[in-house]
Amino acid sequence: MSFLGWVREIVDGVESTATGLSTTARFLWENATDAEGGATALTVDYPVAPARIPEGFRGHLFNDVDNCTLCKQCQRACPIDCISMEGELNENAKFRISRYDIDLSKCIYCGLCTQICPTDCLTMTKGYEIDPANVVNSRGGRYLFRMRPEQTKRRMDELEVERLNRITALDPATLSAEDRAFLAEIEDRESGRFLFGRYGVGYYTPENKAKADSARAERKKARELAAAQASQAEAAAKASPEGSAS
Amino acid sequence: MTISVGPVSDSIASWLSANGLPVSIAEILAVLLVCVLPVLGIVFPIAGVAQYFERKIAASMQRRKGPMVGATGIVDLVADMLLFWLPRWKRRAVARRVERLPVLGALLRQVRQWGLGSMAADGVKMFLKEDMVPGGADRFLFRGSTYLALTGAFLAFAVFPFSQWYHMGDPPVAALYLGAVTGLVAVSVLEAGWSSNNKWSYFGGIRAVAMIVSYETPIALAIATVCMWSGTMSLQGIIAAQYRPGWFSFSGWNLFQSPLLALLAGVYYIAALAECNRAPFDLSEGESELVGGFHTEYSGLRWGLFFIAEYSDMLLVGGIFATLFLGGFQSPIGEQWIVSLPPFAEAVVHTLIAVAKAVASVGFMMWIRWTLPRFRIDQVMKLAWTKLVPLALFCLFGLALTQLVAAQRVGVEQVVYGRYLSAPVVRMDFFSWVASWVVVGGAIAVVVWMAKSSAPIQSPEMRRLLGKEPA
Repeated sequence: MSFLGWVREIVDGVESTATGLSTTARFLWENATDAEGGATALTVDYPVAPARIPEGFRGHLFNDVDNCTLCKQCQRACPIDCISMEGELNENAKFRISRYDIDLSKCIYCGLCTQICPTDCLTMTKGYEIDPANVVNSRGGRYLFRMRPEQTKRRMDELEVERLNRITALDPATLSAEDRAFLAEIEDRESGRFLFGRYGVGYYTPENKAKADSARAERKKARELAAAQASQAEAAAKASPEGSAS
Repeated sequence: MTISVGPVSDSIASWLSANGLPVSIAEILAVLLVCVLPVLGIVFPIAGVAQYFERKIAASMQRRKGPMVGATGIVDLVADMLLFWLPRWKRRAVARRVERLPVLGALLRQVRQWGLGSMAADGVKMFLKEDMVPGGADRFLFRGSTYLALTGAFLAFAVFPFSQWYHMGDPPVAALYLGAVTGLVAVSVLEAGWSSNNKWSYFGGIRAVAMIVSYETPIALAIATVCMWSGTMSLQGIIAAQYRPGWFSFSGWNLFQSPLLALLAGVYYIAALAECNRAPFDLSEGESELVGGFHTEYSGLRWGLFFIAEYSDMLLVGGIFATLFLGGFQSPIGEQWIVSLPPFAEAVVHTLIAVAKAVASVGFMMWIRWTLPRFRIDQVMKLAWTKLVPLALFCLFGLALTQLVAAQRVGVEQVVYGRYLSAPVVRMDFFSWVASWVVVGGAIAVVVWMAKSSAPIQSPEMRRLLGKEPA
């Protein structure tokens, strides 16, 4: 190696090191000033800032009991038996669900129960923020949906559901007097449990609800159409037994 | 019975006893102040905090957030201890309530966001882990090497000047002593690697020895050159030689005296980086091929001691670099406002400046660590013997020539550094200083320009990266 080659090697080493140092310094500066390209672009300060929920996220289960037929298929589909339910007869001697209970400290969020649900009333929401060990807001590890006859009369609109979801996530001691009164209207004091509302504890926006409802209506219509066609075909087969036999 | 560890502690002890303290207590206080405080009060805390900052800096350079462990566990622990008669869920409820308090809660949330809890968690973890000695290991050497690792760095702090008078001692051969005790790192690492009864540890140990022995050469040459330039081997003398009166006191720093000294500073810094086993020279750890290198088998507090030793070494190297090239404890914007303070305040201010320079150097080492990849062992050896040693020798002879031609021996201003007047220092007048930068700097610039314009890029990898030849 010539002398100039030796010098060139040193100079290149110094220059490339300086390039690398300037690059990492730029990263450090971007991170420190929260500039574009810093860690903030990639990482979310989750407990401080809201987390980003991806599409298709499987969060807490939610049962829209208005459509639940108490068929117990979800209970059978559940691989770890965390779902239990009870039914009762209402004042019109109609069968309806009185208790629907999912033990969230057991739930593995596999989604099998939602796939099997014939009326699509059991769905997975985007909610994920229930601490099974949380004792402050008395929720414990259970996602409880309990309705009694007098409570089903208390119908809540979307805003009220949102409000209920918001305040049941808070510490009861910090609630305002209005919120307390609102909670007292709907909470189940006798058994010491809360009614979380028709939309459950999970994160379930009215838009999602409307989308799910319309999808369900479409499926129902399709099912009815198929059933009608089947019955028509059956009738046609009955009307001409010779044709079908030949 | 009198305890004496040198003139500094003696004078502090006599001052304390003259002010009414019993002699024995005064002596013990003086020894604590001079011998224990620098290590326990300065080096240990910085080494502990440095790990947190290193993780944060590394995260930032990789566009991550870094440690974000909160204080929740600590609040829970305190609630457990203070309210032990309550059931667990009530203690947790109280802890969560505390975290929602207006001021304290905001503080705790901030602690969480900055991840300060990770420091406490790491410390507690380190203390509580089991201290294991692997089967077949040489127990005596295995345990001894951890103490030896700390000994090297802490012995070096014995001569480190924190202020004009605040040091354990300033022997006239301090530079020689420094070279001797910093070499203990190699012994400690080899001992740890050999006694672990583990081939990876052993590889790490012998790599470290091969590397450190090689890099001792440019370090020794650099220190010798600075001693020659300053005309003394005492660290206080070297600092005194960099003193300039007036507001532009940084102009006296060795770094700015000659382009050769600036070059030498670079050589010394790179070699010192290798000597404290720091990336990109951390071959002795080399977790990509050696698990953890020489400390693979160490756990708990013994591993922590190696860790503290590494950061103490970094701090020490930064301090020595500042002493040799950056005027030591002197402020860059004039010394007159510091030396007019009472002795105690002067010592505090000078210590802060010295520590700030060392800490800045530690930060630079972290910057380098998270920028450069680890070298191969042959690249490390090549860098030491074909680049750093020739450069250091070139600087040595060039500076000797500069001294012969241009420098003059003068006394240091008695007002400020009167205690060290005994060693007359070498200093250039303004004309020689300018001439040295123009002539030597110009010559170096011409050689660099010629190399860049006529010599091809030497590294085939770099040529390929730059597209100068087909892959």
